[in-house]
Amino acid sequence: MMRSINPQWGLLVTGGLLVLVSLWGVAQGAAEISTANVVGILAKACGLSVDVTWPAWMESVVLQIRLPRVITGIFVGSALGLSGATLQGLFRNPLASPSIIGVSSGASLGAVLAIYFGLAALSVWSIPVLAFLGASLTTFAVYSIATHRGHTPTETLLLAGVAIGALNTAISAFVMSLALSRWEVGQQILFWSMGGLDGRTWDHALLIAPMVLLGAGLIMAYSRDLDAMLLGEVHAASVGIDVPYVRKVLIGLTSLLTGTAVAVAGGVAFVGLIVPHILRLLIGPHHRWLLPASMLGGGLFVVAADLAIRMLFADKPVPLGVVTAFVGAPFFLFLLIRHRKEFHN
Amino acid sequence: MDVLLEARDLSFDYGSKPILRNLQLRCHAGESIGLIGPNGAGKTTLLRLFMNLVSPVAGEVQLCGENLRRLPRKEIARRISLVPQDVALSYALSVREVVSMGRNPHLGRFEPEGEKDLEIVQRSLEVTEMGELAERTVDTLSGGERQRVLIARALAQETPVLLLDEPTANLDLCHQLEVLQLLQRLTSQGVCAIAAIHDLSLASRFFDRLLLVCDQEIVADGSPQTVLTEENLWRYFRIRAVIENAPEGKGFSVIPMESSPH
Repeated sequence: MMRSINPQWGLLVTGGLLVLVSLWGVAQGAAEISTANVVGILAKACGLSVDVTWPAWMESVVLQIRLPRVITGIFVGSALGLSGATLQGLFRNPLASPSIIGVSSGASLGAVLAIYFGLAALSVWSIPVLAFLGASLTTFAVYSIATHRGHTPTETLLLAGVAIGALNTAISAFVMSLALSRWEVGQQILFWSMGGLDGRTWDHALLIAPMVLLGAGLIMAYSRDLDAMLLGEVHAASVGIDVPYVRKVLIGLTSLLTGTAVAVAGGVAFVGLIVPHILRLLIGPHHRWLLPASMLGGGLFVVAADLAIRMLFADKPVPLGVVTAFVGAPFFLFLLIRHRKEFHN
Repeated sequence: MDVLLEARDLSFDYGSKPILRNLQLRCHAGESIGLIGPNGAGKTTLLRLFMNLVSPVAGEVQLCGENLRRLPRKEIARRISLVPQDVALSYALSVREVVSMGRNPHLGRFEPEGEKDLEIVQRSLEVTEMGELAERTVDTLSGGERQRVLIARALAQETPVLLLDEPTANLDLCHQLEVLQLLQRLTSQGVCAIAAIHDLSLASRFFDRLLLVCDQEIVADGSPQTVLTEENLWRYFRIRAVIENAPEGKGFSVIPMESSPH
């Protein structure tokens, strides 16, 4: 497999696209606000002195409604992209993603329970807390089941993840079917399970941003370990990497990231699986580039999908997860067909 | 001579299946040791015990005078390196990048490679004749080149003890000789090299000491002359073989004749 583009360039282009699409995302909405005004409002909010050429309501629409939505989207996407890249590297398995080791479904189940039992109405923190608990408990269960005499074989771990994921999904579906008689609760669960950024506020952005930044910093410190683990566990151990320890740390961090992302935006499908794949094909397998690029790429994907929903289905509440899967799956298949040989490795 | 690696009453089993029993062994600086024995005798397990990749059920391994189980993984990797048999070189990492991984045990988590590390990597590439292929990606290499990359990676670790699991498997004759000559040079510089090897004639020529592992024990330990006897081959390898002095007075030719009926 040849590296098609220089990783630094890849990172720069992805980052540039993310900035452009995010600005577009802030400019797009029911009320028309010109890009120039958006840039002006953002510059003013950053403390720069600019001439105010817009009415005050525009400022509150941009800063209180659209900006937190886009920023939440960026961090949700980065959390999922980073988790996917980390897990794929850790398990040397292209199928690994937060959803395949059951973390996403665990977080979903926690959130579904929070909505069903009416906790969501009591506190805005109940969904995030229960989603995070669900993600952590699932990770812990999967890891404990797959560990025998201090060894955790990848195959057993993935199989345990798939099984517990199925269990989580079944319980969520059961709870949802109980909730169908109460239409409002059922609808809330349904929309939540398909993901979305509607009505996300600074509370959500401020919950996820520090988690993602902290998680990213810690995971990035393991990029050399992840590179060495690509060549197998015995090789990694022989160059001084404590494989069981690194696995525990990275699985813990990815469940923190995924749990937070699901808590904030619901189930956004496919981001953690395809974004790292596409970037690995483009910039190569080096984690010091692949991890930050997957963050930027994940953010780009989610913000672009959310933008597409708002432009194409302005009057219908189409869930975000539907669009990410609808766009992501065909694109992924296209890549799969074109690069069949590389994927085989 | 310094004892670098020592096994004391080392025992290991996989569940109810005993693999090694009360093993005693001392390996010294500058020694080249060939690990021979039939399939499934526990050669790979022994190398894994020396790396603390699996834990003994009884006994202990002393590495440079300290109990292996008390050493952190990074410290182990500064003292002993392993060239494993099956490594997935299927990613688009360059040869130089893989060899550089050998410097990992000498670097802090946030410490970039220094000039000295780059020099050591370059030297390891040249010693293994991989210098010209340094920028190629490892998924495009031939079997012999892959083996040399992994040996170069182990050399970059600069450890006093070097373990190799069948380093000549899948290599053509020329590359087999190159690998074994390289090991000879390293041991003459004071490295203790222990290699599992199937080719008994090559083993007799390139190793000072052979360990014959069979039936959960080291059944013979000594110079090739004392270990490679027709009786030992009959008893432990279950073959009738003819052993002749190799030409030029170095080692033996082991000519397998027939397997013994059991």
